[in-house]
Amino acid sequence: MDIQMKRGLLDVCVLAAIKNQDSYGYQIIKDIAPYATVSESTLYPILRRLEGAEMLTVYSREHNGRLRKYYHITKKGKERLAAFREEWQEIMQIYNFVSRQE
Amino acid sequence: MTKSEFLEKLKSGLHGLPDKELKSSLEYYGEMIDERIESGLSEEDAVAQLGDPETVAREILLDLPLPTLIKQNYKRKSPWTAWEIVLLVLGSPLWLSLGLTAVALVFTLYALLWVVVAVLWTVDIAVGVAGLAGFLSAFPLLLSSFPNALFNFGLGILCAGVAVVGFFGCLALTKLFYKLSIRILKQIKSMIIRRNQRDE
Repeated sequence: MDIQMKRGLLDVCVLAAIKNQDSYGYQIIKDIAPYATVSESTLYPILRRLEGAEMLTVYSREHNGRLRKYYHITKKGKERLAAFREEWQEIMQIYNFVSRQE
Repeated sequence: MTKSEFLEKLKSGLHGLPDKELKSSLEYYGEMIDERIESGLSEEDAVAQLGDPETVAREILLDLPLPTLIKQNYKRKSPWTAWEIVLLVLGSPLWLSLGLTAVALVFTLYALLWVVVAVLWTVDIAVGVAGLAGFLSAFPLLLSSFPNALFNFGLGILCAGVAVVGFFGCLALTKLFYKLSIRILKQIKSMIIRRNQRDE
């Protein structure tokens, strides 16, 4: 897949992974894994970028005697997800047209 | 490799990064190792799954914006001494002009690439307009001189055809240059990173 495209898609995947409840890095990777391959080193810049774009916020909570970072989706992040679904409505229509049976 | 060895190597690979960035990277990868150990892996295996710390550090650096990367790599280890400042000021007519020329030259070469693209687009549009004009101008000629009208028709269609083919050519070229720009930026970043690693 085109690298730029995959980058954009993974951004939304991460937002989708935290949209219902706050999550942490390792869990996010495990949640996305069945749908798209994402490694630690791919996830890291995405989280930084989304935080910079104010689409998520970060907080730490104690877990088993250490700190674990949790990611929380913001209003802006939810708006991004909604926009994505709208965009893809259109793309799916095109896809259906392209792959329709003869 | 143990967790602390991995983090130590990562830290030296990210040497010079702003403290906040460095801390955040180390925390993130430390947490990732802990999570793996918690899910049942041995420390050795948990670390191994993350790949080698040099590559990880390199990826983090490549993702930084260019200005941050330059600042990180060219940060001075000691403050300026009075003599250095005096020399710097005295030498400014020389290094300033040379430096500016170098920057201007690189910028010009890069701009030149895009000028070529812009020129091709302009030519393509001009040919397209000419084709349309030739086509339209044929109609009034139909009454006075049929061969002339036919000639204009033909020429108009030919130009339009060339413009359409040219359009796709221009589009492909623009895309190619865009990709090339991204590649060049990456190359510059890698050069800066390599320079830094050599210095240590």
